[in-house]
Amino acid sequence: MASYSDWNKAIAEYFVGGLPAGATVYLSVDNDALRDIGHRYLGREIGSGLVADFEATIRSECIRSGQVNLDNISGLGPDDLPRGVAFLAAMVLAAHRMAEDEDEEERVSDTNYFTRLREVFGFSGKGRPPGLLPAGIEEPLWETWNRWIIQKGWLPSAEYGLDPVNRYINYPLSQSLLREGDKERLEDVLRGEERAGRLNRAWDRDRLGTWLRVRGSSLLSTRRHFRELIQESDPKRYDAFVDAVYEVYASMDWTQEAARVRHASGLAIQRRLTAGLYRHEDFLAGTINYCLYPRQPKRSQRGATLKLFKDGEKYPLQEERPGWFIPLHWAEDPSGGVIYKVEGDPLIQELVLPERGFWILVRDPESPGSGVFASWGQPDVGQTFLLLCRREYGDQLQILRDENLLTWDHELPLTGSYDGWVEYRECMIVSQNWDGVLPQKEDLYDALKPELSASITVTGGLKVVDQAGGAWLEGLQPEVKITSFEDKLVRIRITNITHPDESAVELDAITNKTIRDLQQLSPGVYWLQVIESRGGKQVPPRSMRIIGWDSLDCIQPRQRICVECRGFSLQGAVIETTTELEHKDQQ
Amino acid sequence: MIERRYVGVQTVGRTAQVLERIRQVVRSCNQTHAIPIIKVEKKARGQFYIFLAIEGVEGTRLPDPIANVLKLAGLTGRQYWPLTLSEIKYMVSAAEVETYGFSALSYKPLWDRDVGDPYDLSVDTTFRSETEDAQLGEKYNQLLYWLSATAEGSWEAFVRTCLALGLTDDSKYAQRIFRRLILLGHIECSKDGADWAICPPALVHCPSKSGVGFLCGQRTPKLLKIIEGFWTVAEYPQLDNQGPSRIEVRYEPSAEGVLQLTSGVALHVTGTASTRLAELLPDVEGWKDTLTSIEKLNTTNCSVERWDGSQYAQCPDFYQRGDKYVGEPGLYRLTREANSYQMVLYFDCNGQKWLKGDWYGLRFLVYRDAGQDCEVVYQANTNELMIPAAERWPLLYERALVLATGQLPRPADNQKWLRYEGVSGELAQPLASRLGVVLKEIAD
Repeated sequence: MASYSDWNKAIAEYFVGGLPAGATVYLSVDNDALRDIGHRYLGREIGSGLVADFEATIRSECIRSGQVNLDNISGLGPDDLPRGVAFLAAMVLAAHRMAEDEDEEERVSDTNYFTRLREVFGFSGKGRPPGLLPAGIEEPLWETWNRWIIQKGWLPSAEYGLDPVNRYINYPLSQSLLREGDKERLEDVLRGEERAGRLNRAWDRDRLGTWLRVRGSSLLSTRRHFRELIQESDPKRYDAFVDAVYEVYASMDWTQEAARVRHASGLAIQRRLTAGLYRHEDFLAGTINYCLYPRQPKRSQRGATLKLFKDGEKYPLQEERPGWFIPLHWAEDPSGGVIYKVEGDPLIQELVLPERGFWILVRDPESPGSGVFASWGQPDVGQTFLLLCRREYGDQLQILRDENLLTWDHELPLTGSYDGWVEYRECMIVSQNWDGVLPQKEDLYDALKPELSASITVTGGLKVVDQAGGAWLEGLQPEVKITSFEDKLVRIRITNITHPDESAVELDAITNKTIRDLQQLSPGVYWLQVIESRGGKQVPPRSMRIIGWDSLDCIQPRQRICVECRGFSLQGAVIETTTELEHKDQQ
Repeated sequence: MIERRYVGVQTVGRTAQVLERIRQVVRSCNQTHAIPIIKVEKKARGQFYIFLAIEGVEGTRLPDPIANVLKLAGLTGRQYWPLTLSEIKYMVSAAEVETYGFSALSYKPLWDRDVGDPYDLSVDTTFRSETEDAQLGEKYNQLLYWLSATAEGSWEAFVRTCLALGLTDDSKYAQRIFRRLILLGHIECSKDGADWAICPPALVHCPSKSGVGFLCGQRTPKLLKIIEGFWTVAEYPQLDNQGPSRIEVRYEPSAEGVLQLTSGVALHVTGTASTRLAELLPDVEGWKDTLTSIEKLNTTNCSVERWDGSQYAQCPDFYQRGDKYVGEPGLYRLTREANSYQMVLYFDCNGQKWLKGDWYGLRFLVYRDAGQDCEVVYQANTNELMIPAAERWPLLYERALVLATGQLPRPADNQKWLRYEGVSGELAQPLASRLGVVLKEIAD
């Protein structure tokens, strides 16, 4: 049986593996995830009672004298991981299991939840398990987990509830997006839609999101839980729901008749990689190329080496940054619908470039001034982007422009192998009032329609890039402002996550104006939140890291540049003759 | 979903004033969510129609808050409600319609981000930083630290970092900073000028001083601390603080090789890199062969200028027919008409190709083509080499001179000459010979 610390480490790595910087972390533990973790991270056989083993391990570590005891699992361990992750996973597992007896009329209640939690811990009865009192005693574990996530460059999602009754159980409930029966129900719906020709097997996440928005309400409304998620007002939580649906979709084995067969047998979850596009402009040659930009699989295992097959050749997929592999060098047709075979992980068979009529490409978040555009995500409020689309979308774009919803600087029809595609450059969404405009092209409209009314923007300063999404250098911090479609007064809170005892700073700010009286921040990780905003949707918080010059490490370039001359090569002051280089290669 | 509809009103006055009045009223009445945009006939004069988009209203009755806005804004003429977009266009017939929104966002396209060619040093530019000299030196050190922690990047990213550090206020001066860092052995530039990469850290022997070397390449405060654990280290500013500090190391020069400092970081002990490089460098023809050759360059969609010794000028005698280029060899600046992208290239008429390289090097080729005799002055007793600024050597050869001491050259005699210190005869003579330059020795 794996130890508590083995499970703790495996669970933490599972839920952050392959995530790009800035992504939101959901500890969405369910039976499938535990089986996957047990098999791929702990080397156990599939279907060997992994869930029961996990529960037994939790009981062994966290139950003392018939009571829950959190003493050994608070704070960070020697491996710099929060010790309480496995315990929190058990709490989320209980939330996941609530679906089995939840009926349409019953309100989510703590009684229901704690009954499930007691079962996980091996207790009978009702109410909080013995030892897990007073209410909220487990909250520091969630806070440690959230702080750790922020320090690593991701966004936390676990939060307390505003309703006093559900205040603390909201933490695990907020993590359980899809419950046991939900996945099977979703698969049935997806298969039905595919058979009816309303759904394609090779869609990407965004295209599936459009389908969900258009069809989801009618197809999934029979379950209250789904209805709540589809109507979710928090854009980040809604995004996470779409991600969860997409995971189910991407893992479907379309050759199997139904989901129930797969889940019952405990078969491992098959996954498919997707790719975006990476735009490269060769100014000297005057050419533009769009390359395949594969996404790292979520919950990927470190050390796994994937290779992609094309035209009989194998191309290793190497990490370019967390969440992404290095773009592949050949020019790709933006129309997509291409499937490449992949090897190196028994659960990943193929990589798909989804079939699309348009691509939204943003500037490199690590180096906005580099001139490179790729599928790194949706643009923030007020951020310009490049829209590559088929000519047929032109009329829809013109309508959006006429209605002052979207603007762009100029367009360039592409030629050669990209004939039929147009680049709309420096696009920007200029209004959030999209409801009054009827879409001609539903997919493009849905993709461009803004979800947020404001975002916290950090620009300028001097940044170094690292695995956690980058940090600004002390003394050269960025300018901060709240970019919004409306002018209004807001209040922003800046909390030093590295020193939680330090008082948070709160400042008044007018949207779209740089916050002038922000003091020079010392090295640390800061959490920026808009805490007061009259009207409008929630403004997503963000983190900002400041580091000292003394903490900089020398990083090796992925591609060294040398001056090549007859008989030698030169890098700075380091000279290597051809003979020396040949000798080095032979070693 | 309720389609957006419009209320149209005929009004008089100057368009800008009418619009501003409406904006103020809509905002003060908190109706921006209900009236997101206004449309007006383009170039309206005198009497004209104005159309306000009304969101989320069904039926044919205009809600009271909207009617109130119209009244307060002085739009008391006959109201046409409800109208669709196509009906608006019909009402104004052939006139175009302009749209004005209430968005608080300012739109600033960033596409024209031309930061120039890192190799183009044709513009004689200086930059006087506001920063005190000592702080300027530290900013150059910070630039090197950032380059070392980032390891590689684009030319644009380099320019933006120089701007962020206050080392320059435009890309032209950043080109000079870029060149200095290459001369000092800290970075290398890709052949097309698009990217840079940090060089590995190296300890270079200083032949003019016994037991002394200096550091080149990657450097961070952390790495310096580690090196201080091995040897005695001293820091000296570059001339006028125009580059990262020269870090002098007192050490016992033994065998050259690689010293593993920390995991992943190795220090290359290079010996006397300057003379070694001088021995290996080819002559000018050999160097020219190493330059990036641009194949099948289409110059017909470019404006073409040639360097005449002091500036670029139009050259109507150059043209391209098919794959053949006709014109004098020389240093050209091509500006692509579609996007104003500029390239500075050397045209090799005989080879029918375009070469990309450092600007001083390409200019050197022009002098050679013209049969110009270049002369340098060498003072053996002080180990100083003086090169006319107007005949500056190609980057690779100049680097060999700089790597003798790790110091940038000093301007002399009203900026007309560049003085290189610590240059031995065994360094100066082969380099001058390779370049076909006359070495004039003087006593004092």
